[in-house]
Amino acid sequence: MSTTLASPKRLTIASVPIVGMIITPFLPFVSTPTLWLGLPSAIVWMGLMIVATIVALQIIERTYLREGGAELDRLEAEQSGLAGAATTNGAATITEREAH
Amino acid sequence: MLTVAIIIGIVGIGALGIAGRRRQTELSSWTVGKRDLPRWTSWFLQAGESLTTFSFLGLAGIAFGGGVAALFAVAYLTINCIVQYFVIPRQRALGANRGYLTMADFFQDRFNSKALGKTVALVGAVFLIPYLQLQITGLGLIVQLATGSESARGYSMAVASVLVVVFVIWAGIRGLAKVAVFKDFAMLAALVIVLAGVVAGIGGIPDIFAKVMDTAPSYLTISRPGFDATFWVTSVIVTSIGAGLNTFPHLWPPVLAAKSGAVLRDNVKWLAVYQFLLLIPITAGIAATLVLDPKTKSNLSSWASPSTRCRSH
Repeated sequence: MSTTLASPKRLTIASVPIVGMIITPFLPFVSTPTLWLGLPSAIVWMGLMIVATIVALQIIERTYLREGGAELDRLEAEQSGLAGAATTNGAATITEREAH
Repeated sequence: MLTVAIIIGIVGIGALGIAGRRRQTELSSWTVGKRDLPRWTSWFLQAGESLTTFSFLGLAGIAFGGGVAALFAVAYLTINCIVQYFVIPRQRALGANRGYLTMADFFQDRFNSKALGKTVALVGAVFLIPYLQLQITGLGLIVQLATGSESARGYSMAVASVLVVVFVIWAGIRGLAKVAVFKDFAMLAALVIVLAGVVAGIGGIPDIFAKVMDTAPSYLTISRPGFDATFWVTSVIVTSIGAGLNTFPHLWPPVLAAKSGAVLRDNVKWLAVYQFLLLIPITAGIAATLVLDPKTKSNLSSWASPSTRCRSH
């Protein structure tokens, strides 16, 4: 359980479609001319990787919100509201959380 | 007649950016507004980078020369969504809490170096010029293709350049957002028209690829000269790092102006769906190999004249 967005578990999930896209030229069905459903297999594969990306990010978002991210989002919204009320030019106070 | 219509259209888009907006005189309101852009406004500003004149000309041209290797753009833009999901909420939070207005502010603050901030600002501005030139040149080529007139190409590029400067200076990020909404729908319509034109002019999609399979199967693999696996891996990794980590200075205002990190995450977790649209110009570029002279330069293929269409593999 981690409230860190880029936790090892979430980065691992995110890496699946990334690796899938980078290795595309080495896949046997791409390195030889192949048609799937009338389309080049590379195009179909890339379409699947787009879907895999969307699915991976949905899973990551759900786990993040479930493991404390929703509360962090609520606090950020509150802080933004206060900052918006306190300043009109966008320069807000430096919080301890973001200090160097 | 068509030239006049195009010029009117360009002026109309510029007017759309300015309409209803008072001139922005403060740098903060010009770049990031009140840092309260809602989801859909942020969506169109972020998505705008996926659909540019490169989507029409560059991708079709690369597909004409490199076949399915043109999918590298789909790959890096999709990976960009994944990397940005983790990176840009943090950039927005830092920007909101420490008052960043530009990418240079981030570097100056995080590395406590004014010199680095100035260097980033200078390098960002100088190296953005070729990117802008690419877009304006692409516009000119599209106008020349539509009108057949070289002078129309020049006029449209001049008018577009002036209008972009005027409306961006006048209206700031909210003016950009209005034009981005219009642009995305217009690009979507244009891509559908391109697809319809390819189907009507050359044949159904499965027929096109079946013919390519028979005549030049190398277009269906990532192995064309200059577009091999090395090209793929290096270009995908390098451009993914560049785009994902927000190294383009013009990508920062939409991030810094967003209402919250949650808004940005909500957007990028769906934005990859835009990349499906890029499959259309890639298909058009591969289809062009069936009808254009093989000696046609790939970066000219999308506006080659009908007289050059004598190709047979």
